[in-house]
Amino acid sequence: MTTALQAHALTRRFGDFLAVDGIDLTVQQGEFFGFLGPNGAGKSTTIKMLTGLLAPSSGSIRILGLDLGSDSVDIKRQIGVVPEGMALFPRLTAPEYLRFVGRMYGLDEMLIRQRSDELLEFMHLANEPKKLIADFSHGMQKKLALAAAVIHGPRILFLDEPFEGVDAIAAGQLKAMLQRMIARGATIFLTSHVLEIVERLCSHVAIIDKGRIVANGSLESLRAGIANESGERVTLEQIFIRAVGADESDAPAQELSWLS
Amino acid sequence: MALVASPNPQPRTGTQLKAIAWLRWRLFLRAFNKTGAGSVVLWLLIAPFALMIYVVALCGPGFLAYAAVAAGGARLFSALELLLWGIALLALMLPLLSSAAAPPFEFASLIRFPFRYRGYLAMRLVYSIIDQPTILLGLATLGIFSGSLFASTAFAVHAIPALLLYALSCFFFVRMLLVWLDRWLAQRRSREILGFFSFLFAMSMQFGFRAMHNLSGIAAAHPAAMPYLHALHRAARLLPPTLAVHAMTSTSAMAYLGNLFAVAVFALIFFALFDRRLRLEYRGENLGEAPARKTATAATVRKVAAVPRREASHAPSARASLLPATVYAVAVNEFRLLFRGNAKVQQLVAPVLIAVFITFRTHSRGVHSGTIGWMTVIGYMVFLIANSMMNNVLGAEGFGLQLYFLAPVRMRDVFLGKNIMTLAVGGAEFVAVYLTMTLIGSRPSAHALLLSMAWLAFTVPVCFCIGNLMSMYMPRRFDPGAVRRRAAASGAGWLTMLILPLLAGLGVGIYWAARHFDVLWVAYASFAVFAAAAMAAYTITLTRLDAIAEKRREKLNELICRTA
Repeated sequence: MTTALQAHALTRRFGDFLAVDGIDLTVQQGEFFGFLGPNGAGKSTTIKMLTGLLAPSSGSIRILGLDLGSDSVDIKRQIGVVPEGMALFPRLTAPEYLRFVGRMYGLDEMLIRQRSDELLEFMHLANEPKKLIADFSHGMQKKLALAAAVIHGPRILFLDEPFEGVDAIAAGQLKAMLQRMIARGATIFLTSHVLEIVERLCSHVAIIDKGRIVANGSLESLRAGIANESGERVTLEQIFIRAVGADESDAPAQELSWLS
Repeated sequence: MALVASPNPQPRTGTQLKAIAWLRWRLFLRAFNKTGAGSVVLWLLIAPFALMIYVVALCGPGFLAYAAVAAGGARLFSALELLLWGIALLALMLPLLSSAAAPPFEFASLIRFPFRYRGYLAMRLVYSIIDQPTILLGLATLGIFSGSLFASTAFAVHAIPALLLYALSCFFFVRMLLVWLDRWLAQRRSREILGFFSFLFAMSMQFGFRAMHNLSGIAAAHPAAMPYLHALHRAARLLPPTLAVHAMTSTSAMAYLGNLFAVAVFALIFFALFDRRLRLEYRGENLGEAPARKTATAATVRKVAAVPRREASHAPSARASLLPATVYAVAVNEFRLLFRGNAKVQQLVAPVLIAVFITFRTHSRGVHSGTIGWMTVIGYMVFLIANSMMNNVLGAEGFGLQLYFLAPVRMRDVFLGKNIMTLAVGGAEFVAVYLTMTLIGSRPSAHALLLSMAWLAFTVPVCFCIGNLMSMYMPRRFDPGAVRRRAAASGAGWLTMLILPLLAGLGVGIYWAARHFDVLWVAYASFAVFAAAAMAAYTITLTRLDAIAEKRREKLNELICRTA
C-alpha cells in the first residue's frame, strides 16, 4: 500500500496557545480515515495545515509523496477540500460556482459543464440553477461545497464536518458517493462529531485531544485494545470516551439553580 | 461521473486570473441585480458626484502644477513639494478611511486552489490597480504631468520618470501598509491600538504638512516647536515626495539620476515588504482571532462558579436606568462594542484632534478660533459619526441580528438604544471639543456655541432618521477586524456625503443671512422649527421600524448574517 499522507511532528502555535502539539499521522492510499476529537481539540487546525490553508509552526507534511512546503501547487491539484467555512461565494449560483472552481483547477469548459451538470443532478441541486448560494439551506450549501471539492476528481479528499446540517436522505447520498470514491481508489480524510457515521464509513481512525493524538489505528485494532466485560462489541463512542477521558474539571461546576 | 480522475493538467495562471476576473464581474453585476430599481435612481443621483471627484482629482493637481511650472522660480519647488506630499497623504489615507467601489474580496480564500505564487501576486497587483484610491492617485499624477505639459513641454518630459517612480512608490507603500495592517489587525487588541495611532499619525501628518510651508507663522506663535519642525522638514527631504520633486526640478544630471535612484529604491523596498507579506499569506499564515482563544481551565470554572448569583433581569444598573430594560441592554451593548472596533475608536478621537489642529492653525495665524473653526469641527464630528455609527447600525451584529427577531424585543427599542448610545458619544465629543478649543485656543463665542447646538438639534434627528432607514434598506455586514471592511454600504456612504453638506449648507446659509440682516433670533427660530420637524420625522420613522424589519427580515438576515 502506498502512503497518501504523512505528517511528522506537526505543530501549530497561536501565540502562547499550542493548538496542535507535534502530531504524527500516516494515511494509506484508499483509506477512509476518520479524524475525531472534542471541540477545540485541534481537528480543524490540523486539516487546514494538511491542505495548505494554514502554515504549520513546525513539522513536515508529505502528500502523495510530495512535500507540501515545496510542491504545494502540485498537491493542491490532486486534493479536494471542504473547509470548515465551506468557502462558497454566496452571490453566485451553484452552476456559476462550479464553473469558477473548475476553471481554477484548469479543467476545460466542456469538461466543467459535463461534470457540474452531473454533480448538480446527483446532489439534487439542478432544479434551481438561478438561485443564489446565499439563498440555499445549510445542507444544500454543504452539498455544493462537496460537489466543488470533487469536480476535478481529486485523489485525496479532505472533509471537515461534511455531514453537519445535512438531512438524512442527503447524508445517505453523500455517504454513497464517498464510498464510491474509495472504491475507485481515492483516499478520504474526514472529521466529524457524529461517531456513528465515522464508525460506519471509516476503516481507520485517529483521535486528537488538546492538540495530541491519543488514539490511532484501524477500528479493529482500537477495539481490540479495550476490554469489554459484558462481551459486547466495543463501539467507537466507548473508544472515544476512553481515549479523551472524562476529566472532572470539565464537568459542570454546579447545577443550574433556576432549573431546579 | 469522474469521481477520481487522472491527474489534471497544471492550470495556467492566465486562465486562473481570467476565472477570477469573471468571478468579480459576476459579483459586480449581481450587486445591481439584487438591489432593484431604487439603486438605479440612487446611482443616477450619486454618479455626477462621483464623477466630480475624479475630475477634481485630475484637474486640481493639473491646474496647480500648471501654475507652479508656468510661474517657475523659487516657488516651483515648494509648490510641487506641497502637491506631491498632498497626493501621498491622500494615497495613504483614502484606502484606510474611504469606501471602495467593489465589494470586499477575500483573496486569501483562494489559496486552496492550485495557484503559483507569481499568479497570486499578479492577481493582487492587478486588482489593486483598479481600486478607487489607486485610480485617484493615477489621475492626480496624470494631472500633474498634464499641467506641467501645458506650461512647459521640456519640464514635463524631464519630470516623467520622477512622476512614474513616485506614483509607483506611493502605490507599493499603500499596498504594503494595507497587507501588513491586515495581518496586525487580525488581533482585536491591535485593532484598538491602531485605531488610536492611525489618527494620531494622520493628524501629525497634517501638522507636518502645514509646518513645512508656514514655518514663519508657526515660529511666531510657537517658538518652542521650531526645532522639532525643522527636524521634521529635514526628515521629509529624504522621503519619496520631496526626492521626486528634487529630481523634477534638478538641472544637473547627477542630482537628477541620484534622486530618481533614491525614489526607485523606496519603491523597491515597499514592494519587497509587500511581497514578503503576500508570500506568508500564500503559505497559509493564519489571520484569524484564533491566537487569542484559550480553553477554559478548571480554575476558570471554579472562579465562575464562585460568583454570587443574581437574577439578570433585575440587575441594579438596569433598574437604576430611566430607559426601558431592552433599550438599556442595547445601549450598554453598543457601549461595549464602541471600544472593540478601531473605526469607532477613530470616531471618538478624530474630532478632538481636528479641534486641536484647527485651533493651532487659526491661533498661529493670529485669527480668533471662534465660529468657523468651531462649526467645522462640529460638522466633521457629525459626518464621522453619521458615516458609520448611524447609517448601518446593524452591520456589525452578524448572526447576533437573529436574536432581535427571536427575542420578544421591538426593533424600535433596538434602534432607540443604538441611537441613544450614538447621541451620548456625540455629546461627549461635543464637550471634549469645547474643552479642547477653550483650553488651547480661545473660548468659542456664546452665539457660536448656541447656534452650533441649535444646528445639531435638527441635524442629528435628520441623520438618525435617514440612518435608521438606510440601516434597514442598505444594510451591509461590517467586519471591524480587517482594514477596508466598509462600515456602511457604498450607497449609504455616498448619501451621507450628499445629505450632510446640504444640512451644513442650510445651517450656514441661515446663520449668514441672519447675521447679515442682524436678526440672529431668526436663525434660532428657524433651527427650532427644523428641529421640531426633524424630531417628528424621527419619531414616525422609529415607530415604523418594526413593520419595515418584518418586511425585510429575510433580506436583513441574508446581508448581515452571511459569512462570506
